[in-house]
Amino acid sequence: MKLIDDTWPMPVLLGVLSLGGLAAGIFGDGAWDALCWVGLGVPVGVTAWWLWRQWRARGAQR
Amino acid sequence: MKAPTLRIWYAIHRWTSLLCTLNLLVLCVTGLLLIFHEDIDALLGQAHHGQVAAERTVAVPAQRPSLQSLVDTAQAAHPGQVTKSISFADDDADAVGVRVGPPGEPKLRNGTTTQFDAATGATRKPGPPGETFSGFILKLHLNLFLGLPGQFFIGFIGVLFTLSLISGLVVYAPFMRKLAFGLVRFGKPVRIVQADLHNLFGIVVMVWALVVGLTGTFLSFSPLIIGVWQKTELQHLIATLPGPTPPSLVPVDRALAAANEAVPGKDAAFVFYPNTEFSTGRHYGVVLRGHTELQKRVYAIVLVDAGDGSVAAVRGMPWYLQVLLLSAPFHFGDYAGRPLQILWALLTLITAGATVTGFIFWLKRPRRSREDARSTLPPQLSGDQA
Repeated sequence: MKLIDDTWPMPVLLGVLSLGGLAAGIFGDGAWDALCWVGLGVPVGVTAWWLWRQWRARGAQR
Repeated sequence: MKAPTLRIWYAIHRWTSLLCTLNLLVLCVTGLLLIFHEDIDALLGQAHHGQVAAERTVAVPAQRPSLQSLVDTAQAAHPGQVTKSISFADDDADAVGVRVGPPGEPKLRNGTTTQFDAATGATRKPGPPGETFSGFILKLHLNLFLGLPGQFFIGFIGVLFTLSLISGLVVYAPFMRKLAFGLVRFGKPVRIVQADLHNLFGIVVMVWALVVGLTGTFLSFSPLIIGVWQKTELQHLIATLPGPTPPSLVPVDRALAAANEAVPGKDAAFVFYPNTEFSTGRHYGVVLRGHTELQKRVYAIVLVDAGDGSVAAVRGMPWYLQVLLLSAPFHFGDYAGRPLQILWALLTLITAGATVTGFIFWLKRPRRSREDARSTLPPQLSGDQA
């Protein structure tokens, strides 16, 4: 199952989102906090989604 | 990357990781609980003070009592002791603590604090007696019940963890050369599945774990970092602003007013009395902070002559103290509400997942004698056997 061809685009994207999210929350409340949740939520969401997708597909590959 | 270089990075990753595995898991589990320490305290009926206004039983007088009157009350309750410092809560304008201790003792830790309702001048009930559950967990997280040496040991674990993350990042690319991001080959041999999970978990939490690891390391060494400030900048201030302790101190309200005038638009955070570890022999050390999430971690330090109430010096904070103050929110994850707490917990779990899968991957390593039998492993997995 090829999801993304290259090694770095996804880790860099998640890293930048994490860093942006971590920073955003400290600048203020409201919209800044929402940015913070999105920035850190995407890496967590990607992990869960990737795991779930491949766990569900495991039988088909056997 | 050349093979010998890669081999060195693999070795660094393997050994720094293995050395901190057990401790890291303790830090993950205790840290996970500490994210929700306020909820746990409330659940166990061990909550600290709430807002002062909510617990107030007497009417608020028209005139706010002077700070000096709170100090006098605290001192009257502790005969033979002198005032060491006053602290102001950053989220409650009415919560003020006055700390007294034995005369001639510069260290603040050898004292007792009385909490006041600054609007009425009444003392507040002391917190629940004995150790709280989250206090116990905090000690385990902070120093493994081993005091300052334990705290520095945890700091050293933090250094190992940081090295493990950086070396992990270095070996990620060669490892993943022929693998798609996030590929987990469920159903394949244990070692392959564990390696895939380790790579996914590790790369996803990389930036977050670096930030939490580095800030935690920095916080572990905070006594040393504050010590640097005391031995350099504060010593310099003491040397340039000599003078005997005045026979009677001007009321602390006057010192605070002078400091507020010198640095307008900020609130009081702390007042350190003369002859304590954060002031000179003659001056009040008044620490002011701003209002926003960011600005309340930027301190201004105003030294006010305790004899005549004049401002003697205004200082900012050196970069290393600024970094230390800013480290706290980025380690605790307490600066953007409940959703961030939950994300902080999930990221902690993913970090623990990376730790465990990495450890299993190592446990299941092929032994040299059986290397031939395991030669069916894909070449991507063979790097660490070098």
